[in-house]
Amino acid sequence: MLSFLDREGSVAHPGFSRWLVPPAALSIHLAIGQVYSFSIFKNPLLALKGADGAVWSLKEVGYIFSIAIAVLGLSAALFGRWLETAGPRKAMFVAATCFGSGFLVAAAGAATHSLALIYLGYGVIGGIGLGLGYISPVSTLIKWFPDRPGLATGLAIMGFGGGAMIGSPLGTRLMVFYRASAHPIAATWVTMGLLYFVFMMFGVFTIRVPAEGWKPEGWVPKAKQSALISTHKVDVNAATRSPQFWLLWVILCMNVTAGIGILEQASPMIQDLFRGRVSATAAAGFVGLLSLFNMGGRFIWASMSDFIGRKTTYFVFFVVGMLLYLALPFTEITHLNSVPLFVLTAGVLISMYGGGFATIPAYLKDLFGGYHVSAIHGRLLTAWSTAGIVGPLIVNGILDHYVANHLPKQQAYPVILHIMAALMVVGFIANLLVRPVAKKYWLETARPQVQAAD
Amino acid sequence: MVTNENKTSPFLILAAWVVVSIPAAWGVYYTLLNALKLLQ
Repeated sequence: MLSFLDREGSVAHPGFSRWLVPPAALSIHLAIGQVYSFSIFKNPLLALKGADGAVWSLKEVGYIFSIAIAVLGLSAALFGRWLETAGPRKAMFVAATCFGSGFLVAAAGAATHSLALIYLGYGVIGGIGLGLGYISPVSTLIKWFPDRPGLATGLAIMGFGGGAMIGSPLGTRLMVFYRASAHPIAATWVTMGLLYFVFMMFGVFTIRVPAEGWKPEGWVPKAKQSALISTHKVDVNAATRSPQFWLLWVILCMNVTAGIGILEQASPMIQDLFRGRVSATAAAGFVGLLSLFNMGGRFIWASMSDFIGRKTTYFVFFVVGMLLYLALPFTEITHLNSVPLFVLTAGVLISMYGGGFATIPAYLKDLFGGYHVSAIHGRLLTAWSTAGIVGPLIVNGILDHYVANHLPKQQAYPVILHIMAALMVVGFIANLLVRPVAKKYWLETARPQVQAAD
Repeated sequence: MVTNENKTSPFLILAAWVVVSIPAAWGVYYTLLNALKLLQ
């Protein structure tokens, strides 16, 4: 069993179709993307009472999601290098075990009214599953699709966006199903833990790494390609010392911070900007629509980057993003008063937020080669963790200021959106500064991008 | 040179995609239903 999980045990036989690899990756990302739907458990958790009648506060319950996301970033950064040697199958197995067992530990916490157990289960153990699961298929996909790395990683990371769409109705329906039981949340989490473990195991059994020297049939690397596309391999430690890594860190951080600014406030924002015209129900529909744009953007933008190049793709994100963030306040009720225009603008912005996530692994592969791309990607995800803190801080800080000073809340949004536009400018400059990685960072002096087939 | 390759069956590839597409489509369906509330 253990050798089955090893990298050597997962080498594909001749004739293995690479089109089996994206479903394997998707099974992992569709499962772990559940984390984005955790909010459905907030109210049921707040309603839980301990034996002494104690209840949890919103802040305490909110920490469960925050811990999970923080551990995601940390584990992706810490275990990325291990993943490169252990291989994707073992990493995906550990991810499935952690993510599934995290639910079980959290279920014990819900049944015994122990918040510490929920933090440990869903936050820490599940968070390790999230981090490992997120990065585990990336380098494998890039090796299978050297001709279309954006498409391949876009497919997988699209799954993470789609995971919330499955997790939300699944969790809600299970809680309704178990409503008569003594511990509905615990029963729901046990079921979800087992279901997700089985689903992720499908990926574990299906994933394969290509044999050394494999390349797609008939594919010949372009003799002349962009200077930004490396033909050398760069070790993860060397990569994190290079300016390119930190420029990409800024690029991801700016793109995500701005996107979170809209996502976090989507429902109240549309209701505040179109007061009396958009109901709470319609606002929930707007949030649903944004998640579709988020998922679609991951696939479309990452696939497109294979044709127009990674740097150009981020130029589009930052230039169009800046213009749209500036334009968004003009769609509100006192200006153009156009709900469709507001929805469309926000949708395009969120598609570029998702596209930023999905295109970054291919950008890393271009600059550093495919050698340690999962490990480098893991460390870059600390930009996401940072953005997850900074984005809501900006938005909530400004809104709180307006409310505390008895100023109209609607007036806060143009300020927030102009700050997001400024973040786009910072990202634009960082992208502009990206140059090919200097020779001193290369692991060896020269290496063909893909070795000749046998 | 003729190689003894054991080519993956197209049905196996289709089955793998179906396994991941069904839950994804279920999720998208529910999200679309939710998104339609915007028109109400």
